[in-house]
Amino acid sequence: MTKVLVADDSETILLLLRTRLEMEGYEVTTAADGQEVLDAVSASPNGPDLILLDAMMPRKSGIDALRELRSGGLEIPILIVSAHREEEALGNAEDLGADGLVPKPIDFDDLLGRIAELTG
Amino acid sequence: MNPSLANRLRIGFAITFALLAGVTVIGVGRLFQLRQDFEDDTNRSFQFELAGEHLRQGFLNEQARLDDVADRDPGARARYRLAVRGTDAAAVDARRLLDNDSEAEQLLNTRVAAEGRWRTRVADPVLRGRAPPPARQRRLAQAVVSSGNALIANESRQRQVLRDQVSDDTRKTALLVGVGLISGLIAAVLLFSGLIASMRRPLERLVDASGRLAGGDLKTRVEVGGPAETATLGLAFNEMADELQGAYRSLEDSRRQLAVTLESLSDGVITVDPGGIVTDANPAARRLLPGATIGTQVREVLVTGSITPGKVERLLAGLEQEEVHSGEGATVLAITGSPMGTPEGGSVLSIRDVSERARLERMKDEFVLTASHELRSPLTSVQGFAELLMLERDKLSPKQAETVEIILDNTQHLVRLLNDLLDLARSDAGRLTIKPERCDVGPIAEDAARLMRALADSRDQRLAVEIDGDLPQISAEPDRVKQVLVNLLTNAHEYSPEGASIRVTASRVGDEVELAVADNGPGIPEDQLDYIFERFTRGDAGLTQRVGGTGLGLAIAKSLVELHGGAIGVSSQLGEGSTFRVVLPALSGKEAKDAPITSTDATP
Repeated sequence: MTKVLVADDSETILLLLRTRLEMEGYEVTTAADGQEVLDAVSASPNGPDLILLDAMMPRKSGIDALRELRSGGLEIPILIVSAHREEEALGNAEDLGADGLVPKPIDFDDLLGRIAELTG
Repeated sequence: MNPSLANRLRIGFAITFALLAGVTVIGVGRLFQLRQDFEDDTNRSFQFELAGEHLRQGFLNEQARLDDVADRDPGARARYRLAVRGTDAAAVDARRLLDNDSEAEQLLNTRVAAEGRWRTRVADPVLRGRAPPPARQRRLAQAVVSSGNALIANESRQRQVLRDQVSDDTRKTALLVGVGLISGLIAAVLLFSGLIASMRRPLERLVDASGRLAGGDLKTRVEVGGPAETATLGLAFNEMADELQGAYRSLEDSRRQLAVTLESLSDGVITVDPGGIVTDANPAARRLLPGATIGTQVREVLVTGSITPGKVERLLAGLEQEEVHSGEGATVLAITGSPMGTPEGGSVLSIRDVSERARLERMKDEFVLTASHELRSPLTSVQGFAELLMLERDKLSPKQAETVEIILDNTQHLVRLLNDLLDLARSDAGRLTIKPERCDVGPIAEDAARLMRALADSRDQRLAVEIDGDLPQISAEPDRVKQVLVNLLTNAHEYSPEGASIRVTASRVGDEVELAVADNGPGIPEDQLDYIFERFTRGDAGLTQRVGGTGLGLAIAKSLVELHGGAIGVSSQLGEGSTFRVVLPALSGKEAKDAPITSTDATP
């Protein structure tokens, strides 16, 4: 079963994403900030197949986590979720190795299509 | 008031004229009279002398006739008596011409007496035939001749005396006339110099006073006096001085009011001459633009900031209404220029410190940006959970399903509103950017129409797309152009009734490509056309309640079009429909396509 790690500082968003992704048959783990993502990835040898990373989170932002994950050699697909439609932020994320950007509010048809494509 | 100078002059002239004319008439009359008398006297004198001559001739005749008598010549006695009568007639003539001359009368009497003695003592005896001795005859005849000669000599002498006297009288008269004329002239000179003197003092006072007035002493008044003219002049001068003083005072008052007003204005005011040199600056101007001191070139002060030289020129000419100029630190100044409108030219610049407004606008922009970001997460949840519910629609009652659909519709609307607000806030903050690329408008228009097709169909509206062949390419961000068209089409759809006809056309107009969205809806009232592109402006309130939309679509469309270097406009006829036209510059063959254009390049 495909494992997806979802990181967002909002419990509601986490609940939404977990519910929706589980409905689609994914195994979902969650993290509340960038640090938890890093911990989760390093703690589990049998890590996630894809990470859904909110750009703005306390303690450690999604962008910072992305940078560290990529510099740590992690190669699994990572999608950045952002409330900012600002092109600067999105362009920056792609340069740092994100595999795509998901603007809020989330278009789930689009998101699920991309996850399927990246993990297929 | 004194008699006028004109009247004084008239009187003076009359007196002088009468004086001179009198003297002349009297003198000349007297000379004529003298001449006449002289001629009369001379005439009579010559006649008297002639009578004397006749006496002499008569006596000679008597003597000759008496000699004839003595020679016993027949008829001689008759001739002698005839001669005696001739002599006596001459004596009567002479006596008639005597003219009260006693000396001449005495001489005449002597002559007549001598002749009488000669007749009695010589002629009578001869006639009786007894001739007296020749010595007596000679003596008595000699007495007659000498007394006659004396008479004639006396008359000749008298004439000489008369001539001398007349020439003496003439000289005296001429002298008198001359003296009279000279006195008259002297009197006239005195009269006129008196008149001039009566003018001189008041005139001198006027000259002095006008000199002082011209020198700026507006309190100067002149003492009114002299002839009516100078008195009037003095009164007029004083009145003029009063008015001048009054006018100057009110001018001074308004100048002072203006100065106080300018001093107390919180806006800066700078006046510049036609060359752009600062001629005056109020305290606020000196505070806001410390460089703009009197005598400096205003262009140098202004151009250092965000204002280009061209804008400064338009500002000075009054063509540019307002410019934002980043002064010292975070100061933002709004500058308005207007030409002075005086023959000398020059301009007035008013400067307002709008830093606070600019700061508030920045805060507002930041707030909108932040708020729209912060709202996205909750919106994501609402929309996401509503979608979750809809995934299990079969487990919901129809009523519940409808409710969830309403939630989703409103969420969509909220998202559009947030996106629009965000675009506008970015545009205001100068952070709205486009990524232009070389593209064709045809597919963009088709794309926009396709997005709108379902909505149009839902209300039986016909949606036609007409793309001219051979359209030039444009440099634009296709998504943004599509956004503009979708905004226009959304309006056309929402404001037009069911069954309406909507047309999207793309055509070439000169060096530009024109995209037009036309509908045959209700049209837009003329008074709303001017501000229809302002945000949150929507047409008819009745329609507004029915239609959706955020009221931001046209404002965003305008920002986006201007960001592309284009222009947007509308024409509308009530009851006929509206046409929105977007013109975008066409790309010429070799033009570069990838330089990003930021909003600061295009938005005012």
